[in-house]
Amino acid sequence: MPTLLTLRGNVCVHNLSATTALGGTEPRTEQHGPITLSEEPGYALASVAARKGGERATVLAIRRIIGPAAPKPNHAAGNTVTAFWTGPEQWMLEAPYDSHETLFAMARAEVKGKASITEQTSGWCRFDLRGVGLGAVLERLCPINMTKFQPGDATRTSIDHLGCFVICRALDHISILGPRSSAASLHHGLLTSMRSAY
Amino acid sequence: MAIFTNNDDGHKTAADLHAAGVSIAAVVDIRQDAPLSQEYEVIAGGQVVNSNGRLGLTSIEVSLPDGNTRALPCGALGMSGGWNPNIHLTSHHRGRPVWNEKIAAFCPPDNGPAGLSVAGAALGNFTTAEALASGACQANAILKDLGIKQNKVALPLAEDAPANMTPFWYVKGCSRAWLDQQNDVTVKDVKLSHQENFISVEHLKRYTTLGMGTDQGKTSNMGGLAIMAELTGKTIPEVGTTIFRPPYTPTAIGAFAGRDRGTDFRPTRKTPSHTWAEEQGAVFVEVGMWLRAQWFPQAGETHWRQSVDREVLATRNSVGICDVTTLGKIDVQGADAATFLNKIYCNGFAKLLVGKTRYGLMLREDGIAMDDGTAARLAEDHFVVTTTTANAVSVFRHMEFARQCLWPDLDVQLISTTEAWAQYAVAGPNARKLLKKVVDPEFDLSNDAFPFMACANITVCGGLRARLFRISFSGELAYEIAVPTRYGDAMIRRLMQAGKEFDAIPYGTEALGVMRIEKGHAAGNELNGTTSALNLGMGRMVSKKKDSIGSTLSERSGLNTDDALMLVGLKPVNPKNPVPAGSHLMTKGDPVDAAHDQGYVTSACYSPNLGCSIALAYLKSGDSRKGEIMRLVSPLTGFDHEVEVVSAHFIDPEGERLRA
Repeated sequence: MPTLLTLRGNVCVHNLSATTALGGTEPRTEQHGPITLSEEPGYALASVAARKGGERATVLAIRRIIGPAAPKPNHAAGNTVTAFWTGPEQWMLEAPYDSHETLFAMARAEVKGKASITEQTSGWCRFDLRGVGLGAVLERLCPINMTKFQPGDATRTSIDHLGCFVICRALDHISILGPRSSAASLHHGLLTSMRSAY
Repeated sequence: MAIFTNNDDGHKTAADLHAAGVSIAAVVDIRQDAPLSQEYEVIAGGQVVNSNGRLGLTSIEVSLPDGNTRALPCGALGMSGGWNPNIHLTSHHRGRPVWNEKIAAFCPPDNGPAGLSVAGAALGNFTTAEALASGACQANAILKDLGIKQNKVALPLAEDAPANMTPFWYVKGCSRAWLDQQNDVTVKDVKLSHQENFISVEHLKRYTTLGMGTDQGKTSNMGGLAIMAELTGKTIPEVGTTIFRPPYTPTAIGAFAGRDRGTDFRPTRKTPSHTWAEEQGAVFVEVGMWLRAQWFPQAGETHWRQSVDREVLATRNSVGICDVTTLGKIDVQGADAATFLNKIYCNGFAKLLVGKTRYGLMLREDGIAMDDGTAARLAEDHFVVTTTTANAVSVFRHMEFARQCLWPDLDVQLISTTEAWAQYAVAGPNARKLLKKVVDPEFDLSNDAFPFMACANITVCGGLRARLFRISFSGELAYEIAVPTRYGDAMIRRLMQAGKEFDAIPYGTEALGVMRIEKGHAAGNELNGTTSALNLGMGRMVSKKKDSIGSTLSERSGLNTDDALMLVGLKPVNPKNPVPAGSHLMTKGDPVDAAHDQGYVTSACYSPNLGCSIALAYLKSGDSRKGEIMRLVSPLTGFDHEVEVVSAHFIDPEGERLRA
């Protein structure tokens, strides 16, 4: 059963307005000390899990989608569309929402039945931390060794009891993906840690 | 305040307290040669033998050297039996403590753990001068080890009075003499431990809990060991010690809790309609970590029952909308997805057609019902499984375990999509009419095109991808519609707007509960971890044409007795009476006792459609007792009324409404 949608370009046509994970119409941004915390609703997500015997084909399909090779455990890679490793033979694809709202459909076409694709766009909230000295904020929240957390690293950890993905985009830019229904709790935890650190 | 001591430091404490303005009732010192004071009374050679006061200390009784006893009014009693070196870190690193007769205490051994140097009081050097000298000596030894040149440092002059003390372990002759005040261990407990042959220190500790937990031997171990030594005729070092460990200084429990306090103790999960529900004045209830709307009070409603009754009647008469996002959603894909579900659920799933949904019951390996929900087949190799809100995580974990460990050869991929989709139940005779205004016109919602238990990928509101399921928990003509969560807020507002002409209302979990009881649908109260498919009236659902988890053990004779509990409905004989949950069923004429118990009420509510209270209950041989009048009793509250056993399906037993 195909997923149906009316597209204009890559964008669904309909007359409903989206809300962000924190419940607003515009994303929230907070500044404290040297750190900026921003809500990032503008990304589409799709999970990729290789099917039995499709492991090799899946890795190749991911390379076709993101450019570089499919990331190894604890890593992220890509350009416009990026991927980070989430489990054995499993990855999450991430891309700008405005140009890739139907990322899952694109991925499904690319893997040609060799992997299971699930739309995850609205399942997660994403917060980005920018600034110098992010380690002081993160080390209060999770057990990641921040002195060795380099650009291209991505890992799963627990932050205030929430299972989150943490991705290092640059030394002064880290993304945190958490469960959308708990966005307010996660946001509160991140802000509290920023205020504790600076 | 009174002080009871056997050493000079007890007197220092009294002097400090006195200087700070605390009135000292007396210092009771077991030693005949105790130092005297000009400022307060010292009772040399005395012992505190009893205390008085119920909610706080009011006085102590002191036995005097002459054999008399004297009452001494006081509000607090400080006790000191002398000092023990802080050997926890040494002991933690398996350094075996050695007995030092001079200070009557265990000390770190000379050849302790490699790399660990101990100095000062921790080594048994109790005076300030001794501690400074020992610290300097150890520091120099470490520097030498590291090859660093030592500097001679002049140590400050410090107090060097010897720590005079006379070992004293407990007051003899008391009925209860506490040894470990943190674990409530008395001298008598140690004697009992000895009597029961728990003589080894390790056994003594575990038999009595002496020195466990936060105490870690700091205040209580020496006393306990001394008593055991006395009882066994050994010396204290012969009795030995257990291994005690840091924390060797107190740590405030708040430091462990950190920021995890109050509402920050755990995350809060909010549904996509939360903001909208707040605007409607919804009363929320925490389910798992979700906040769900319980009911939506309207102007003039002063009691929750008024709101709930209105919501139930409005839904059954026209249409109601409920946020069901919290139900777990698990995406099951892969070539063997159907085979996998066929093993997970006790009923058949292999032949479910694409575009259809089926109710499924999962059993535990022991044959007891675990969870129920639906599975919708969106493609040959793609299902969406729903779970109850409370079990969403445990069912997902169970399925992952089965996938990875039980049947690793199956081609199945699982991922939770609970958070990705906002899902709303639209229920009531006007549900279809309402949905037609929201679902894009190319999708035919007629009963022929989209019958009961159908499912489909559709679009709504001019092109947004959505999923539609024709499933019903309320027993009405009902659908569940799912849209990406970011459009959940817009969707509830659109549904309510479209429903205006039908007087659509939002309903909460209470109305949901009333309607499912009226329909006889099982929920958490019925799937309570002790009940089987047979008890639930679904015995025949457990397919014998295939193997599934729990299928074999559900055949155990003990789960299949002739008088097994069966789910039934109950109505009060006098419609004014309630049918309270937790009450027990008794056959008329039988005595009210556990031996004659016939069953119990699991779920109860007031049914605004029937105009009386109703209940679901488990009753022995319940399926053959319809029409019987029974006693429903609660000996605890004195409740005792007659009820009639009826079908659990109070409303629409033939299912005509949900197929309309």
